[in-house]
Amino acid sequence: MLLKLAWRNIRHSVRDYTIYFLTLLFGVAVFYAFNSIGGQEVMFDLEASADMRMFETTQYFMGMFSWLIACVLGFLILYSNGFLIRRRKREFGTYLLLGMRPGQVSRIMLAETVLVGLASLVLGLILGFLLSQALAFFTAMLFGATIKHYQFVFSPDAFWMTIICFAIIYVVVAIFNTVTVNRQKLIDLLHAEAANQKVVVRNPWVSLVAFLCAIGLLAFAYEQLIESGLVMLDDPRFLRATVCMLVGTFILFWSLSGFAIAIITRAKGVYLRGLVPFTTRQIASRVNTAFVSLWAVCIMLFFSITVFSVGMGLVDTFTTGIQEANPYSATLGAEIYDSDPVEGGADRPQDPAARAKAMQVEVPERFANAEAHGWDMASPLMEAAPVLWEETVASAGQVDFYSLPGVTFGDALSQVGPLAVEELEQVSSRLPDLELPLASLSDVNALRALTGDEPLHLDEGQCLLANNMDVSAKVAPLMANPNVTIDAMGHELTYSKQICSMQFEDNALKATALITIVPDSVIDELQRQGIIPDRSILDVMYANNGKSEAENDAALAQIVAAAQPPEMGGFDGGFAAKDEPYARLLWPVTHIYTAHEMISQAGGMKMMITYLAIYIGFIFLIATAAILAVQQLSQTTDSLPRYRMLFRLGADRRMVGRSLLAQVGIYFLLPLGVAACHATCAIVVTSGTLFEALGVSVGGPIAMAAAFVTVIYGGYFAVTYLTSRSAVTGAMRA
Amino acid sequence: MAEVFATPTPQAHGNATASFPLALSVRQAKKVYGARDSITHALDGVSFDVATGEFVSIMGPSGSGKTTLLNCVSTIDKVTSGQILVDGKDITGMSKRALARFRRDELGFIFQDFNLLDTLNGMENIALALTIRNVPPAQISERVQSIAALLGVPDVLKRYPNQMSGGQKQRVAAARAIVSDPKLILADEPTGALDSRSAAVLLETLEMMNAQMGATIMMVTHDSYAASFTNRVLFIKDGRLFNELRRGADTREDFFTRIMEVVAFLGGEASHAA
Repeated sequence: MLLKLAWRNIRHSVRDYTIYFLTLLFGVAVFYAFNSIGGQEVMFDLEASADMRMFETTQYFMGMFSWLIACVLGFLILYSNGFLIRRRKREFGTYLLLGMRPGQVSRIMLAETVLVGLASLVLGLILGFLLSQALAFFTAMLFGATIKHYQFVFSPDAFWMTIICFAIIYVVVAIFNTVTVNRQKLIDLLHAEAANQKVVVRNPWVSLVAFLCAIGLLAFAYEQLIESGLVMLDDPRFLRATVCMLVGTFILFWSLSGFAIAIITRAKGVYLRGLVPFTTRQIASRVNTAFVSLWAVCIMLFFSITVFSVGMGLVDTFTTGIQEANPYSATLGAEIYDSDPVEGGADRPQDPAARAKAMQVEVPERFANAEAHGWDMASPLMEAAPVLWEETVASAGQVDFYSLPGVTFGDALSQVGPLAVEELEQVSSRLPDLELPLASLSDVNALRALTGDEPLHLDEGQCLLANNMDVSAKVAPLMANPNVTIDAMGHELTYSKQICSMQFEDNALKATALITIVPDSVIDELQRQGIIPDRSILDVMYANNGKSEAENDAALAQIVAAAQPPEMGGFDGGFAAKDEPYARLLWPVTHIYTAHEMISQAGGMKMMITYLAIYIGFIFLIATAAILAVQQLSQTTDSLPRYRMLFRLGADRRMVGRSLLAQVGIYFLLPLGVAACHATCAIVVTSGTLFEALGVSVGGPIAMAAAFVTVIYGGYFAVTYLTSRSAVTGAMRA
Repeated sequence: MAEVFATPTPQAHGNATASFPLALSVRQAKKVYGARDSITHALDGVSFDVATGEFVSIMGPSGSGKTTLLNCVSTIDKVTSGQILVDGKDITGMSKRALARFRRDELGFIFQDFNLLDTLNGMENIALALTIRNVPPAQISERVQSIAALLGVPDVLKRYPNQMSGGQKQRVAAARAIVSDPKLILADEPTGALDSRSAAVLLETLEMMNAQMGATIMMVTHDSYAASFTNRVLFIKDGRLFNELRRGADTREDFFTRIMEVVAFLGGEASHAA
């Protein structure tokens, strides 16, 4: 009986429930789909453990953010539910009047909640399951992989997580409903209708003052944010900007309609036309009563727009030019001396000539090993595993990087002018005191031979600057200047105007940073003086041996392991051991970057950030749009007598339709507009500091965010408008 | 008592046409609800005229069809057969849009439950009747204020409905009904929700609107006291016109007594039938 009543009630208020239900459905579906991403890995051929790790990391982050998402959805459900309940107080009053016990009424509510919840959970999981299958193709695209074994993947983890999260939410909702019903007095329930239509009017002068305060606060918040540059989140200016933004937006919504009404009603020529007075008052009363939720919606929108566009921008920074950044099959690196005062490097001698001695004292065996092989990295590897080397490596080329004693970046750029030195300091404050890194022409040409590029040529007395890193892109043209001359071990060298943009080694980014390519004679002179390289890299190209890249990567690691048994310590491939004190002193190999690993890592990164951005952005968007829609629809229901009245006064359907469109439109656009202003400020600041430095344009992500918002938000807007219109038209006919 | 049985004579209307233009003319209006098994004749061939400048009331017990009649005249409902002419125009065949425009341009409404928009202040509520009609904004304030002054509510224009008394609300509604100068004002139990003092003030206001501002008013009521303010009372019973009383030169009190006789007869017959 109670169940039947509950079912009837749902069907009766289907108009209010539709959007709520659809939102729940989407929420559940997306929740499941994104949490099941980890399960998709079985569809791909993932040989390298790095690829597997990316799936695990993505899964981990999705799981972590899912708690936030669950909170947002929980809030949405609780809020919309509370809203629907408030509107039905009279109905509950009638039940109680008819002699039902409060417990029974609560049980009807519970039954309704469970019915809607169960239906949305089941349908949502089915939809989510289908969505996750479709997501696999998207994953393949992001990951740059092809789906090898397509199959239906069901993720029990995601399934249970979804069930548990939503079960908790529904239990909270049920408790909330029971308490609401039990605490009401019958008389209040029966007279709830009148309370729903209370009109709030604010004093225009107070509104004006508050409005100006709000504008002032927001301007201050923007100014603080721009000043802070949004680099460090613990910057007090960032904190001030956040607080001012929150408070300012709140006051803005509180005062807006009072202020706007005061202005509009004075413009009689505009105001006293058609249904304008009605429409204006209707919106004003809505905004006045719902300013808190408008504020919350605005903040959530701001958050979702910012997360989405900044996230998408970050994806670009991680993945643009990843192919160009990895022209070689693999790079074996030997960090020998690093002036960076990280662990172990602090008390190294600054004088290049003294470095060899220091190394000899610190790690005599390795120094001896390097000396014995003439610092040629390939030869100990070949000796250790000749067959495997022969089988795996088709060609290899080594570049040694030296510091030029006594000549710093500051020395070179001061010849251009003080502005150039300033520019240099902008890149890094330590840079002016850093000695120029050198590489010999023949080493560089050996690398060019690997990728099939034309060899470089240097005129007599000339040197060439190599740079392709975005961070130093502004300094490079200043330095590649025929007016800049350096004394390289007694050779007078002048920079060519050309800049060589080649990538010397596999890396996550384009990483050639202000390297000076010098004639071999300069390097010969350095070696004669007993100076050792700071670092060497050995780029290899794999042989066409029918093995996959991942298999060749494994073979390469085996070769390195043969020369440097794992028990030596300090080496762990990839980035992992970069900061270990002895890694710097291993010879010949302190790290391996392979193109395959780099590219799949970038793909994984891209996958993770894209999914997180879409996931968070989507949920926040539907949550906010649903709140607005539920509010707007229930206002329309409350206002039906008003529309009936307009109909009698002779307003035709078109007039009322236009009024509704304006009401729904402004109600949806108001928080979006304010959020867009905030987001624009935040994104402009971020792009100025972060993206510009990384050389990524922010236009694409913004366009994507705009499209994303338009589709989802616009969809909710359209549904709300059409539903309201049909409700009003129906009421007019009756 | 003879008057109690007097039936309206159709010929009289023909004569009226010559001397007064007709604001409303209802011809054989029928309204049937329900399907085969349970047919209700809410209106069963009602005919009457209202001349321009008249103040007519329609009385009848609950279920007599008076509200249906009002709804049909106000174009909110449609008759099943018959004709309704307002200012010479037949409204029974009009399209929905034309009806909306017709309501807007030719009719004014006063309802029992005031029907002011609670989000709008008094001024805006009255102005709405004009803005919907696309009256130039420059004229609106002036027209609203002069009407409000005539109806004795100039001081509530800035107030919202929930800040007004019931009587004030109803006079604001009356102002809204007349401000657009309609051909016909329809009032549905306008005193129904008012205390007796406010009711008397409102009825005097309506009388004044009729006598001094030339408004043609058709009022549906079950209150004999309210009906006694009008020029003519039409009684409806079971969907048919049952009787008609003209006030003529009677005082309001005398007219009230005559109305009460008919009402008493109607009530007696009703209880007899039951």
